[in-house]
Amino acid sequence: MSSKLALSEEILLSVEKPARYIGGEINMAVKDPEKVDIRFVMCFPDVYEVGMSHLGIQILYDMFNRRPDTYCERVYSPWTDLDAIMREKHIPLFSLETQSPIKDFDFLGITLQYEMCYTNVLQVLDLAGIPLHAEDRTEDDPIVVGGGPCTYNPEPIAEFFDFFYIGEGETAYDDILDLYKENKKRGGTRKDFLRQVSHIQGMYVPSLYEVTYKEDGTIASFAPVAEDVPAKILKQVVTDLDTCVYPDKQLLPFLKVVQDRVVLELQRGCTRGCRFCQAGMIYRPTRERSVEHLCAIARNLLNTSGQDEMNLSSLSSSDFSGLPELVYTMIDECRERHVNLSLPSLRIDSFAVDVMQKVQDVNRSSITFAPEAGTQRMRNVINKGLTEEDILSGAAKAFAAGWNKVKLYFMLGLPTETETDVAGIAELGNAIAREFYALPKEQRHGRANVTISTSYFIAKPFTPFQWMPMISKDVFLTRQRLLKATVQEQRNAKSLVYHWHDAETSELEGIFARGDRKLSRVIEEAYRRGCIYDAWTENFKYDIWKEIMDKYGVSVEFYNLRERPYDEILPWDHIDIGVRRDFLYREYERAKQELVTPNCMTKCSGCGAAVFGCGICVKPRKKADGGEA
Amino acid sequence: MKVRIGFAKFDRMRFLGHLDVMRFFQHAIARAGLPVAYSAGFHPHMILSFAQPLALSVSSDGEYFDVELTEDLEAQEIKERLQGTMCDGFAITDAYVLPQQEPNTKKQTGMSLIAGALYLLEETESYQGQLLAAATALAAAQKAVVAKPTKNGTRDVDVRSGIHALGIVSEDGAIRWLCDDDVFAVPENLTEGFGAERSRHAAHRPGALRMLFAVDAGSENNISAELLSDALSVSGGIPEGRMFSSHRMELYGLKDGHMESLLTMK
Repeated sequence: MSSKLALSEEILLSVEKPARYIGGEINMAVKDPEKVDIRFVMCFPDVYEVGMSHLGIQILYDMFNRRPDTYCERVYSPWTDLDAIMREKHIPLFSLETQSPIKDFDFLGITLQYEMCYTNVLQVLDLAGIPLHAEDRTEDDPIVVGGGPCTYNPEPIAEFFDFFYIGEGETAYDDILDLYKENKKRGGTRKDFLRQVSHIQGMYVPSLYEVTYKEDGTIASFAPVAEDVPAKILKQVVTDLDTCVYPDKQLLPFLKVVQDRVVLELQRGCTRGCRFCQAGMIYRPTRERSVEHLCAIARNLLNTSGQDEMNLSSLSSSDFSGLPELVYTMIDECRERHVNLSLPSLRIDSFAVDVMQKVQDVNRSSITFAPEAGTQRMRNVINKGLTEEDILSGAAKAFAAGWNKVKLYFMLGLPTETETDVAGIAELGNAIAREFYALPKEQRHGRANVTISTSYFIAKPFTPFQWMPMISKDVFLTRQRLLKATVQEQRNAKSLVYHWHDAETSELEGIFARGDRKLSRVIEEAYRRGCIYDAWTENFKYDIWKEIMDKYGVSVEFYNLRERPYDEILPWDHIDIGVRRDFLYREYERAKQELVTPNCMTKCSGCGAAVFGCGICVKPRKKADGGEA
Repeated sequence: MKVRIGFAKFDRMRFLGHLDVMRFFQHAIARAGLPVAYSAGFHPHMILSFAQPLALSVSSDGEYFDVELTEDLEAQEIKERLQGTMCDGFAITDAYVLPQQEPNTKKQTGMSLIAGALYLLEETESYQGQLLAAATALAAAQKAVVAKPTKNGTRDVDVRSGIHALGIVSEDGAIRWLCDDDVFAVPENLTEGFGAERSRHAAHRPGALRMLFAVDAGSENNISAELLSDALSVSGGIPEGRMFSSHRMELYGLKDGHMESLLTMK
């Protein structure tokens, strides 16, 4: 490997954490770029420590590099300090592995994990010297492809991408890369390639679709420009997680990153069907890995990384049927290796309390619940199958086992929310603290510490709430104040702490989440005026965004605050996640009627995900506890 | 048993900070599967002790840490297993089993032992004899006071009193000493033996002026490569800047008034 770095010593010594830019990590792929046909650079448009924490990139990086004809490298957003230097000194953005200019690659793959990274996408393109608009790119520019959850409605950034890969990355990239090679050999153009890509399931080439608008700003029509381009883009799905690729080794960063541990993905999807949750819909159907496969992967990952923590990752770990077997096998092995096991998203029951006692320091750690809403009525609306009794009995078990810290997560501004629901949040917190003080004195350790956190409900595409209005920033702030006051009125107020989320980023996130192509000029202008790292509160420039939105007539009322009628064409209607629009609408109506829909383990609701013929849709699981919790 | 590991840090890895170097070796030891001792408590950690941190951008052939093992292994095996887990920019240079400590003596960890260091400085561009004159002046001076940055502002430090030997290295590796006391046993040249071994990973641009400094190091009076550079710019009247690329050749402990290489220090 060449030891030549893209940045001079002077620059490296003048920026914060130069190790962000030097590459060379353990398990990094080393190849000769001259000897491959395809150079792919994978980008997470945020700072290194965030980007390196993402499992998806690790999977694709490993998968691409298994191909002898392809060399996959990485790039992350330069932090603001280096960003300024690169602009001043005209240093082109470079990859970590070979430190070569991004513009020299065949593909630039950008993962879109949250809406607030959109200006960072433009930063990456701009610093790389790639035209921001796909239509301005030439044969010399890389093909810019987007992936990740935001591609389920990529319209606000559609103009900046050559194509989007909708769905799970493990399945179709081989075909795409083969196609690219063939097209190149034939002397085909960029346009030729994109046209052929559009024929592969899951590939959305925005330039091949035309959109017209009505006078009120809603969509009048959205259609492909030619007959061979599919009108609907069906997402890609891995049908068997045990036979699909999973990295034997994960890149091990030198810096302490946000997720500083190896990650074991237990399953994909979630059976719960919470009506606000996009992940619960777009990753259907739920598919599990076998315990045997997981144990083998875990040993490999620990051997090849030397990491001292392993995270069992899933949207709802308690629903993973092999959890007790896996956990009891791994606990001993991890202890021998001095590896900490972390299990987020566990439902607190006797099993969880037993496991947590074995893997956590009871005195220092806390237990977490995500009731999301304060009253049973509200939880029925959002279809959160968690009752007050579940929460209180879970908390009581944990308190009896020695814990005294509880974290609670809620949303404010859920559809149909009233002041009673808001006050219910404080009352639930109080009831939990009461469980603690109900214990005999000699069993209690100190005092209860119940932390209540609220975030701002954001309506997301492909959820039953996609038609629902959000509340305005002002109403949100009023409810925050109301909750704060109600918390203070509680009998156990001294044991309760209330944390809240800032409203301005959430408002913009809402606009982007359900946005359309008209937003691209807003994003572009915000970027031109210095907005990057909007996900970082200290960098978020609300006033600039507001000014630009006003200039282009982009209103919060239109994107966030109105109820959308059923017959309105939504900007993401051309994307097909398997789960049908009419199912989502049925759920929307059941939400209004406060009716609970059973989860997939109890009863199939016919959402449409069975079209993929895999996972829970073909092999329903029997749960001893009946599923509902 | 306790083992002292010597390692080199160079190329890209010069930009890793001290904490990240420690993390790197914790992971490396786990990958190598060495039977390392852990501390007690709910979140046990490996019992490792690192010597003097190295400033960013400085390369080194003389870094050390001590590690406690729960089983006896041959030094050679430890060295090989660890070397197998290195990435470009790190190399294991030595592994040395430390003799059992007398039960009642004060514990001497890698860090608290450090008393001296040997640095090789090379000019980054040609200063046309200015640096040679600065070095000659510095060697002849009684004092060389520079402002050392501290947590709250700066503190004046006499760098000269911390310099035990200063030599000019010629292109063929021979060293001409401008000043020299008998505290350090200094290398005779950079082409063979200890001198060659410990300058292996120093970058060298043919024709560039190279200087060797044997200095005080450790928690008491640490003369870093940066302070040496500052002292030269003061004594030579050269504006401060990045004049040198720096390389640490070795770390020393003090024994009976003499500096002894950390590797053989008992």
